[in-house]
Amino acid sequence: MKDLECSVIKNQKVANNTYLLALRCDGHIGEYMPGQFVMIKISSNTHPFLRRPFGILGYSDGLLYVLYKVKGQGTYMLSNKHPGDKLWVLGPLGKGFSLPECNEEPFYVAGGTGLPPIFSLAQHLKKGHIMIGAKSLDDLALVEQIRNIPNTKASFTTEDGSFGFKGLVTDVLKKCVSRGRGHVLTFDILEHDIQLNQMTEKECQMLRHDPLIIYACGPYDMLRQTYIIAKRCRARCQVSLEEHMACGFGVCQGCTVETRSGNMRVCKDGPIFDAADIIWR
Amino acid sequence: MEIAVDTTIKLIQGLELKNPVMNASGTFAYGEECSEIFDLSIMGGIITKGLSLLPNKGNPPPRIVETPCGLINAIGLENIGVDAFLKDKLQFLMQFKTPIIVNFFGSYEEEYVECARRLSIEGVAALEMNVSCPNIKSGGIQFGTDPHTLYALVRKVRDVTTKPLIVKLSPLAGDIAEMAFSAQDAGADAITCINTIPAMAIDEETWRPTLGNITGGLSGPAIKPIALRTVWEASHKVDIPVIGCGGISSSADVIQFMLAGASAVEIGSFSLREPFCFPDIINGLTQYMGRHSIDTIQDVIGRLKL
Ligand SMILES: Cc1cc2nc3c(=O)[nH]c(=O)nc-3n(C[C@H](O)[C@H](O)[C@H](O)COP(=O)(O)OP(=O)(O)OC[C@H]3O[C@@H](n4cnc5c(N)ncnc54)[C@H](O)[C@@H]3O)c2cc1C
Ligand SMILES: Cc1cc2nc3c(=O)[nH]c(=O)nc-3n(C[C@H](O)[C@H](O)[C@H](O)COP(=O)(O)O)c2cc1C
Ligand code: FES
Repeated sequence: MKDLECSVIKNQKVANNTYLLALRCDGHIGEYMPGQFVMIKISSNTHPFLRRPFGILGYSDGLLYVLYKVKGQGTYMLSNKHPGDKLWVLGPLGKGFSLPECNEEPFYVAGGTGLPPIFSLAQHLKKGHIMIGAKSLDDLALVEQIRNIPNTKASFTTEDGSFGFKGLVTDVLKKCVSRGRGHVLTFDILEHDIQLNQMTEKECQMLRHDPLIIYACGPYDMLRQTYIIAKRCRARCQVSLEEHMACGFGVCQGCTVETRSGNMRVCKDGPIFDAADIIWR
Repeated sequence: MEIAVDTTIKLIQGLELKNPVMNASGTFAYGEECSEIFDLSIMGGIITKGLSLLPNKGNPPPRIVETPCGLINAIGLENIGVDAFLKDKLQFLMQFKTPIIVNFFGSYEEEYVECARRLSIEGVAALEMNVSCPNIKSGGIQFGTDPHTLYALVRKVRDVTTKPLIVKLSPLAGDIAEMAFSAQDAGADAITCINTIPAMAIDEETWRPTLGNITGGLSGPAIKPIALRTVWEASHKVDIPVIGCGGISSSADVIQFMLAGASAVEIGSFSLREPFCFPDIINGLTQYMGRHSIDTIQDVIGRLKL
């Protein structure tokens, strides 16, 4: 973990309220794993007081890329930074995604601001099927860059149908896990864990033959639905969680989530967790 | 030219700090994470997260909300418990050449007493009793707001430990000097002023409290002037040393607290934002001493000109 002074190279609006930030760091941030994040200090005075967590979209040749959506004060101030302005970046932080085992095929699910870690992972693995969801076409960022990730297939979903499939990204995931097997899944997306557990071994095997690993980042409900689908088709599933953070490096216990192995810190033990370990709300 | 200045603080009989800068409890965990980023031996002392007799799960999320110049936390004193600390963490901390001060709390008197008893072992340089946490349902802040209750509690703890005993007070005490005096009377060796200030935040969009626990404790630069005042008042009332805490963010702040009467300081919230602040602030102190021709930092304590 380093604390690097960085200068803004680019801070460009790329979608509705969404900016692509490129930073030149005054040192080497070091190796990072897709899924890791940084804490950005937006101001040298104490307003805002805390740093803000953002996923690493990419890092190469001393340039760090972050994709963020303006949400409140901190991200608003960030959106007003100009080339040459200084920011301070603490990172890389947390644990990244664990990579697919042997012949596991990766599926990626991203919704809202969940794109950065998913993008960076797909670019790292260069295989699998990327599914991106947004409210509307205006909210979709980096469409061309996603399409250009070699060796991958990309599907887009918008809630209003303005681009790609109409509906939720998890609707597409549901279809994809069974595509090519002649089995269209009929279960309701809101079905509960209990019902999923009742599915027989045979039914599960029919769904898919290749082992799957599903990676997801986005709103909590999307993550939960993704997990339900993953569980149904016996896929491994890793999700990136968000929680309010003060330190981002594990010392304040501010970002704790409950898991089957007790309390875990999203910033240090995560933000990537096996979905099966999480006690879902 | 390197200026040779003496930053040592003889805090309590048997507890000497190489400089007056320590971390505050709860913003440093048990030292492991920070040890990866700088050498913990530079610290004047290391203070652990607050421990209870049994492990404590803490409060539901969100536990953190930012406010102007600070934050409100409602961690709820999540900790691994005294026994796990002694088994898994103390040994690690002992490798650093600096005193280890263990912060602890209880929900009732016997819990305080039993914690103190178990923590009174080799490797623990001192105990800091938290009688002022706003984030637990019972105990906590009650002990820290009534001088008689505090006296009785500190007495009981004093009886079971010969370790230097520091009592960490709440700013909620009607008269902080009175509380400090009670603690001294009951046998405390030092006072820490202050813990967080009970506070609240509300989301006007959802009409809900921002914190899972509804209320929490305010810390950071926002509370510094209050902390400074409590140090001033307490240090005038008692003969034992006072440790200043609340919003400290620079070597200038450290000097201000020492002028007000603090013999040492603790830095909490600022280090969440600036994990590398300890070496910077400690260096800043020696530079300040050089600039002002101060040979020994002890000479700054309580020297406010009126
Ligand atoms: C590990 C991680 C990675 C993230 N990656 C990205 C990313 O790549 N792109 C992106 O746009 N957003 C990302 N977020 C969310 C982003 O951190 C918040 O949107 C941002 O902190 C909001 O700050 P603000 O001052 O604009 O909002 P405000 O609502 O004013 O923030 C007030 C406080 O709440 C915290 N907060 C508010 N929303 C969130 C949230 N969703 N998660 C965590 N803390 C929050 C803020 O950090 C701040 O301390 C990530 C969050 C986490 C935990
Ligand atoms: C996240 C967090 C956790 C804390 N946990 C404890 C604790 O376990 N025990 C304790 O005595 N004080 C605890 N405190 C209070 C601090 O030690 C300190 O008294 C207070 O934050 C004021 O100092 P500051 O403004 O420098 O943070 C905590 C504070 C914060 C912000
Ligand atoms: S944000 Fe401090 S422990 Fe995770």
